[in-house]
Amino acid sequence: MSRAVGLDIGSSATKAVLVEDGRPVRAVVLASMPDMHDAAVRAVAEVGGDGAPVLTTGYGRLLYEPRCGDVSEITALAAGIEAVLPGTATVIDIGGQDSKAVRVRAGRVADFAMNDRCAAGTGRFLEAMSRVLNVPLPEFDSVLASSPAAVPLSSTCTVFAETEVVGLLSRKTPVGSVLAGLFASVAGRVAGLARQVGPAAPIAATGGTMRCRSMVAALSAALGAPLVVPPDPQVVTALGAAILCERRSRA
Amino acid sequence: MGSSRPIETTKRLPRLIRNQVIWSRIAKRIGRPVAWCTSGGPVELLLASGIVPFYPENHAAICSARGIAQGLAEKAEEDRFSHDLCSYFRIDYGSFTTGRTPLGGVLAPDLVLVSNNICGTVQNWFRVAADHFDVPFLFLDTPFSEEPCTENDVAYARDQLVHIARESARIAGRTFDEKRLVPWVERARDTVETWKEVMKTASAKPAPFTSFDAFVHMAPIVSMRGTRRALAYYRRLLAELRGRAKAGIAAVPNERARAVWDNIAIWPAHRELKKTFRDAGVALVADTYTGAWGGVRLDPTDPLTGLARAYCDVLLNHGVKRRTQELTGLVREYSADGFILHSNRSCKRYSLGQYAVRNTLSEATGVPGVIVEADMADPRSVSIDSIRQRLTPFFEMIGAHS
Repeated sequence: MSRAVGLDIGSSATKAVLVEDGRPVRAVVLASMPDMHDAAVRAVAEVGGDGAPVLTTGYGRLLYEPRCGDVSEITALAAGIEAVLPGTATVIDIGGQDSKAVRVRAGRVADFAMNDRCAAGTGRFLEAMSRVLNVPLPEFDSVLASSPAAVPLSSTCTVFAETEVVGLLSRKTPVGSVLAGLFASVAGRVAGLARQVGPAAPIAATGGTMRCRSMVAALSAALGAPLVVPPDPQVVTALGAAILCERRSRA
Repeated sequence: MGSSRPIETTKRLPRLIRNQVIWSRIAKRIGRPVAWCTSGGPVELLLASGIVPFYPENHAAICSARGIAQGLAEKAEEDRFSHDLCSYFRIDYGSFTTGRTPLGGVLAPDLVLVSNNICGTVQNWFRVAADHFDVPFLFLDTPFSEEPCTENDVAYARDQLVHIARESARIAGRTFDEKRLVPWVERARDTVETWKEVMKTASAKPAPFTSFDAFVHMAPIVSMRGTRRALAYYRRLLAELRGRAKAGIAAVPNERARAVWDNIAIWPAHRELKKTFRDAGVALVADTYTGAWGGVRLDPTDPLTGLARAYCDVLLNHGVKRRTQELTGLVREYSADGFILHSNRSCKRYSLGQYAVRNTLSEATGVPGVIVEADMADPRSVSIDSIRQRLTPFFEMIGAHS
């Protein structure tokens, strides 16, 4: 039986997926901070991958040893989405520190675009706003459901948006309306990114942020196209790394 | 796949540049006028009148490569020049107003010579310098156009060249004589031709020379064009590179993929980037930046008209269509697997329209491209991690691995 681990050491979360004979058998998600290396070691142990070859990806991919290699998140994401949603033509991923749009052809990267050096349109933006609004991320959907009318936000910059949000709250704007405005802001930014690669359907959306249904809805509205979200959107990149690892080990 | 060892001729480059600096200082001391000149300025007119050219753009790049750019740029910002202005300008301004330079002292100009064929910023930059040093400002206006320059453009530029030639000769205490211009134009033409051949050696597989080498070896073609020593240097370099191409000596060991570069080098990250490409097995085989000096076509039989045409026709004096054509030609000629567009925060004219260029170029050549955001000289706008974040998946996409 062939076994392989894909380890995605991201800026917010570290994800590990164990595959056996090409099938995912277990996935683990841990917080990366405060010690990314420790999180990586624990993730591999918890996923039951001791002794199996490990292919790393993500911002922290070079800090884990021993690894059989490392690969960019873009390449891993393309391989992962092909495994969970075969035939996907475009995948949009909102990660902790960046967002990306990838055109995929048979599990390989045909083209990609990433956000520039700015936290707008990333998970970090939503984390920062969660702190300002005092609404934990898992509660975003329920807060939003109670007050659906979005207030338009002019700032996409995380720092300026924070100032703007504080101003809105001081004028007693409902938290849900501010939140809806924030989602629209992130979605607009990411949709612009997706347009750079000329998004072809079917379009999939991944990354931890996609666990939030309101985010998916906002992004779908901004793109004007339906989105398919795999069952566990946060571990798709790690799964892709595991599949590539198994393929390399076999080669 | 070919072994790798440093290019021997490179060892001669520091001395060549040092001698140029020393000569400039001696010339100034014995009363020869110094002209600050833009990289697209008609330097041949200065040389023919015995004027010593100095290139603030090169100087700013040197400051950046030596790691003193930030403090100099901050001086300009303290004096209320926007951070969004060209970093070469801010660095140069910081240098001439504080006297800080890695070249042992500011070489004060006796005149400045500017052409707006590379951008509009230089016109204001050199005006600031001319005011600071209280020296004459000579200006060549070259109409920007999407299409190739017209005969009217050439005639308009030629009239200005006559004025520049007479004025600069007068400042040097001479009278302009077109005959004295001929040998300078001939040597400049020969140097340009040799430089073009040097760059062409990178079409060999594996490439014996990359744009990272060209970024370094370009110094003489910019600042010593028309001199005997620049021509001799490139002839030696060309002979060595042809030998390396024949022997299969690779600039990048285990060359796995080839790419083309657009825009000015990223000086603050030059070494790290060179290593990133090398580690991934990607040879940067051609670029529009150093290639621009290979595109200057000079004509010694009618030197002033030839110069007018050459300086109107530089790449950056044309729009997106021409840049796309140029890149398409490079991708094909050098058998590139992809291309990299440096979105240069400083250089608006060079970076404008890159998203459109990327799409058109990919469609025309069938190879992918990536845009990296950085700056040619200001280290505060350069993040090597951010650049690698984009280059790594791009390298994987074109068949290389880091």
